[in-house]
Amino acid sequence: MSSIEQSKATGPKQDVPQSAAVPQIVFEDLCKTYVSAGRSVEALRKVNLTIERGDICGIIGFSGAGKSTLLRMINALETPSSGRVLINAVDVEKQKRGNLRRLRKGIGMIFQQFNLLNAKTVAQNIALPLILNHESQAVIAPRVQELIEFVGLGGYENAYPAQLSGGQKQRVGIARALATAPEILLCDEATSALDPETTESILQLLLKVNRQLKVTIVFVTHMIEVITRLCNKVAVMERGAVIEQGSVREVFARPQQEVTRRFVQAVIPSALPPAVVEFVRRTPEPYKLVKIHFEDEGATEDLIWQLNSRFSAVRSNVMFASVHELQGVVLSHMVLLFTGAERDLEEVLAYITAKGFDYEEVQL
Amino acid sequence: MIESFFNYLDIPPQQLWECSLQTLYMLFVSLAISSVIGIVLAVTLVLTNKDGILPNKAVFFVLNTFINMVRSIPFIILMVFIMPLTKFIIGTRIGSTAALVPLVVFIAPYLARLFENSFLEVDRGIIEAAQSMGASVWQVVWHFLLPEAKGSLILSVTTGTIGLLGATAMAGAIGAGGVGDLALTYGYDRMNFPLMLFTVIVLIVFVQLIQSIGNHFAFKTRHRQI
Repeated sequence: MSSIEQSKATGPKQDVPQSAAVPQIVFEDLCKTYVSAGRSVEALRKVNLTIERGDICGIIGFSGAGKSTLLRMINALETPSSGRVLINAVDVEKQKRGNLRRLRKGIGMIFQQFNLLNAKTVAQNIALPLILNHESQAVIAPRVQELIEFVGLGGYENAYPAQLSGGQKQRVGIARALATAPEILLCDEATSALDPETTESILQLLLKVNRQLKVTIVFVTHMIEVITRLCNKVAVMERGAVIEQGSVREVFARPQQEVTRRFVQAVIPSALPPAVVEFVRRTPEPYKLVKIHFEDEGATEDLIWQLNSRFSAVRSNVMFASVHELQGVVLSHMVLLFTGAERDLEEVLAYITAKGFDYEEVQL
Repeated sequence: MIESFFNYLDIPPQQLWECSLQTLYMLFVSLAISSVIGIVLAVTLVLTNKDGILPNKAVFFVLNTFINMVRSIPFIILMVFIMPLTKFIIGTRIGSTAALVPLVVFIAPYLARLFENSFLEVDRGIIEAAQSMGASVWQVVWHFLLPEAKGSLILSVTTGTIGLLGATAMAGAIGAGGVGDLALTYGYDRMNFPLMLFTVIVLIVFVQLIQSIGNHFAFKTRHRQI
């Protein structure tokens, strides 16, 4: 497990000033145990995670993995049993009531069920955090209008939430969360109640929030597609623990844990179709079934042509291939079946390694 | 024709009018006071509830038990039982104003329960959103809980008012006046059946009016949501 670090190649982080020496959010040995009816449930088990300023960090896991609990530790909607949560190096739990409220005003939050006030209009909903701050109407009115334009809801100022679609409601939620110009935006399954098209438009809006307003985003979801579209970092959770973390590229290219593989499999399929497996089984020995990873420039290199022209005694056959673009980087892998003499096969593998490609032998 | 109607009822029209006013007086004054008390009690219950934002077992338990205790006393007994308190507050035990004390004691805990339910209907997520915005407890109540529960609160007041109307009629037993008193002293004691029927009709009209007005305003706050 590598610690979450800034990805250099792409990602939303690039032009954040260097004052970003202190990480935005740090979880230190965070544990949470619920006790109910004499039974204790470990919701979080020693979570260590660092989220840098400007990151869009996805936290993914199946339901009950503890991801929402972790998210709610950030704005102290939940308190840890042990361990610490640091926001800009400030321990959240040690804050007195007034300070905690101020800290929360610097952290926006959006929800799966939007949690808008049904009895208030779009403009009134967005104005709420400002009213809580005792801002004057002269400050509130232009700010609300600005936010409405930013989220693309111009003309809906006086509509009630019940008159809006799910996507529009989430736009109101985002505008409301941004009203106090927070540094951090927490998203709790924010797109899980939306259809794929609407989800995409909300993700585009969140990317805009991250890039234009330099807001750090923490996005909890069980949908891997969201992570690939939005995040530059990812943490995978299972039974209260973070089992894998890193840049989305790293984790997606080489998932280490079974749970991660299952998630990644959904967007980047890598399992051989049964018919192909049958075909390989019928192939007489000796052969090598090899999965080769291509990334960055490698994805466009003519490796197979090189192999074919160099090792004429070895036959290569493409069994499976997939190409995906992640964070502007081409990520692909190919499963090749090589047949030929044992010695030649070894030479082919050595050549692949020498060329700087990563491969693994596939077990059927 | 109207004259012959009142002759038939065996009662001057002024008296009928006065009794109606007494009933409305008892109804609205005690309703106003009870609503305020009821809201305060209900908010306290909801906040100190174990799932509330200021969980406090002791306060919740005491309040909850107190409300249950008062609500278990039938109104006719409550009226007599708290007469010393009435005398202390109002200075007399009989009359419309004296009846206000037992009416408030009777209906405030009832309203508190109805309001509590209205507040509990508010989506937990909205309270969570309020907390995530850094709202203080008072702000959560004022800006989130009350506006979101408004429609339901209006219906609760309506239900409470109709219960209260029944109690004002019973207050006639301690000489509180009003339509109920009329039915008891003239209708029952003098066996004036037409008058009894008439008071019943008057009470039905009151209830219909109250319910229609309540529905109208509740609908007004809610129709935006559909």
